Amino acid sequence: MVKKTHTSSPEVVSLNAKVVELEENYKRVLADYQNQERRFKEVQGQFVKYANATLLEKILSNIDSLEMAQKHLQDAGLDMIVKQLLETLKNEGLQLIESDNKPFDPLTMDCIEVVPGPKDQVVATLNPGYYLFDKVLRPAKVKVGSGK
Amino acid sequence: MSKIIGIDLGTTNSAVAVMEGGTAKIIPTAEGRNTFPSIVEPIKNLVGDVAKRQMVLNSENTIFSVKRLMGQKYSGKQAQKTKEIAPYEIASGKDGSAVIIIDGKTFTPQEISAKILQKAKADAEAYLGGTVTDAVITVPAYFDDSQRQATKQAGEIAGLNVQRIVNEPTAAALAYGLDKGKNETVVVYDLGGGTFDVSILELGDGVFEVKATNGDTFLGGDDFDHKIIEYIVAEFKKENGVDLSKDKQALQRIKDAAEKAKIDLSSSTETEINQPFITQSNGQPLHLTMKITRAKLEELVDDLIQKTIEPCKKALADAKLDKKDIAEVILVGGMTRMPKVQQVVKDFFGKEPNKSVNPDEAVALGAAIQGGVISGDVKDVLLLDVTPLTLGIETMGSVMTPLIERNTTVPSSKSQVFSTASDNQPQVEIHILQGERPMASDNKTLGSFVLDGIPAAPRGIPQIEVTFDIDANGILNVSAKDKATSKEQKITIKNATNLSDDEVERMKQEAEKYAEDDKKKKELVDKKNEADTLVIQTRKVLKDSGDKFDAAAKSEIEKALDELEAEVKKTDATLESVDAKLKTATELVQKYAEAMYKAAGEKNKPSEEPKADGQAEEPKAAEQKAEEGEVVN
Repeated sequence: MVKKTHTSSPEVVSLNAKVVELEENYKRVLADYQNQERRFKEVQGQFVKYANATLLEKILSNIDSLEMAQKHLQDAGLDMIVKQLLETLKNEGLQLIESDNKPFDPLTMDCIEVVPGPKDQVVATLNPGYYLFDKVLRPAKVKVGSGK
Repeated sequence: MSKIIGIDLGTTNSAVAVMEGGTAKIIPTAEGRNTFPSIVEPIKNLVGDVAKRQMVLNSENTIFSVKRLMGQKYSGKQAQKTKEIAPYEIASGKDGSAVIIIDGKTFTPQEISAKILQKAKADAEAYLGGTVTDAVITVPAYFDDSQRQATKQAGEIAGLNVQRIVNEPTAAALAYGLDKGKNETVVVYDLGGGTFDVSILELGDGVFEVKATNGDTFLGGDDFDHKIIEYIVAEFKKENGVDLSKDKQALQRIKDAAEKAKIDLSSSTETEINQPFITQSNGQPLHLTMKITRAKLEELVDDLIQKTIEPCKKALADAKLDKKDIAEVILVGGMTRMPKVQQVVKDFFGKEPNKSVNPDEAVALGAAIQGGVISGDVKDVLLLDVTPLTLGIETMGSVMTPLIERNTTVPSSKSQVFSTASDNQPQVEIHILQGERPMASDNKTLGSFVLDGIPAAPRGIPQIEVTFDIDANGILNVSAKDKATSKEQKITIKNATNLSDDEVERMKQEAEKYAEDDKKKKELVDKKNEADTLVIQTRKVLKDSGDKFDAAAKSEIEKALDELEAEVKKTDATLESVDAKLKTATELVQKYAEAMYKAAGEKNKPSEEPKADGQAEEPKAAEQKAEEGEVVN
């Protein structure tokens, strides 16, 4: 077998190096673009999913008022309206955070007051919390037992 | 190479930012917010909002305002003052430095700050999708060496390589883009959640020198909230005789409402607080409903705002400067959104403060910019150019038809098929234009060439594909190819994007200025083109199947066509005059065409068919024109 040997001219060497560098740059740009595209899709999905968050957060304060009115009036019709409204919002991904008598969890609850009661357990929920899909939209405002 | 993040390690709130695509961007926290409370529960390892939520329950173990203790001696004034307000235990540690005792364990302020930085790091990693190892962290300008050292240590404990410690006012000035300006003196007025700082900076050749700094470490947005809460409680008591300050549940609701009212009153002059069923009195529910005007709020907090002026005076005196020496005042911190604060600052310094950057984010953004400078991020980015003006060719009626629109990122390539404007046209001229105006003559000519040897064919039949290809260096290649013969001509235009900014600006402004005139001109040309098409098509029909019309009809149509043609050629023709003649001619043509079809239908001879085709050609040709346009000459 004949082995062909030849010394590359400096020009060829530098051009080869340039090719490698450019190829590298090209791949990086392509990768950057693909990553960007993937993230864009992700973000777009999230964006659609949580687009209602701001509106829902505002509506929650109206629901609070309705619930307070219901607590006071004890009206069967109003009760139905509140339930209907919550049902509608449930279909949009809103879900109640169960807090009554649960161990206090700062990830989903906000402690407003410490009162006598079982230690670190929710004694009363002052303002219910809600998830929007898997995110905490609003933590529940709770009273927590002091253990005394 | 991993990115360098910028961290605003604040007394009450912290924020993280990073350089992305050449600009600084705030990284949202895991909770989806742009900032997070600088609150830490070290035993259960809770940081931010989560730590804040359990603060009431676990106050002795929850640390806030740890920044006040950074690098401080236990016996020092700052540590002692913090001890008065902090529910957690502060003690004397190694070398007499202030430490925090939680649940029997000793934590240095560095360790607690490290937890805040760790959250910043984790949020950044989740956002960027990779490991983050380097950071730029900001500190107040008045921090001494030991406080800066402590901050650096906190970064190291958090697993961050602290590339630089930057002064907060310097970072803010960077975020405001002041490093690009000339040598000047600026004031940074920073009214945050818990502290007020004013700094006087001298900028020159990219160097920022802090000439003087002053402030009040116990004055901020929280104090403003308290004033509003006190007012609401007092008003409610006056009206209903019930003291809500004893009712923690009601107080919590008022606190939220007060904060919302404060924010609302920055953009509107009046807001309403509505909290139904706030409490009960004699078994009856009481509702809190109250209007607060901006004027009332300003009256309530006036003394707090005035308290910021004395430090400003002192800082100016320390820097040995006068108000007139200040080139710019920039605002940092959420409270500077309040119009009254802006007014007071304006009145004192005698100039409109700059508030173009989000005041909550400015410091973190500036830190990220500093990080970008260190990593050479800006150089690393392959900067792609955009075409500053639209590129196109001239088509029938001297209209500019765009191929590559303005602000298209280059390299880019676009093709479009055109045709001839008259029968048996042997060549087309490709006239390349640049600009935003609809009429060819109002735009800049970049070049032109002729594609000849087009085989004889009726107008609209030849297909000439014109391709614009602009490379990353702004070199434009234009080619025109006759699809039937594959004959091709091309031209290369260098520096198609290389216009001076003034030139681009002038051309854009002209386009705006003449938009209305241009639209009218374009409409007239479109109408004239429509008229031309009708004249040519109808004459063709008359020639091909003239025997189907009686002489009177033929001459009537020809007269209408001649008149229309004459009107189009008139220099003072208007849209209305051409349209009137066009309508007359169209109606006439339609009338006789209808009669012709009817006659053909009665005879019902298949030989009549081609004539029908001849008529049908007209709308087809019009359609083609709309889609493709035609090249002049």
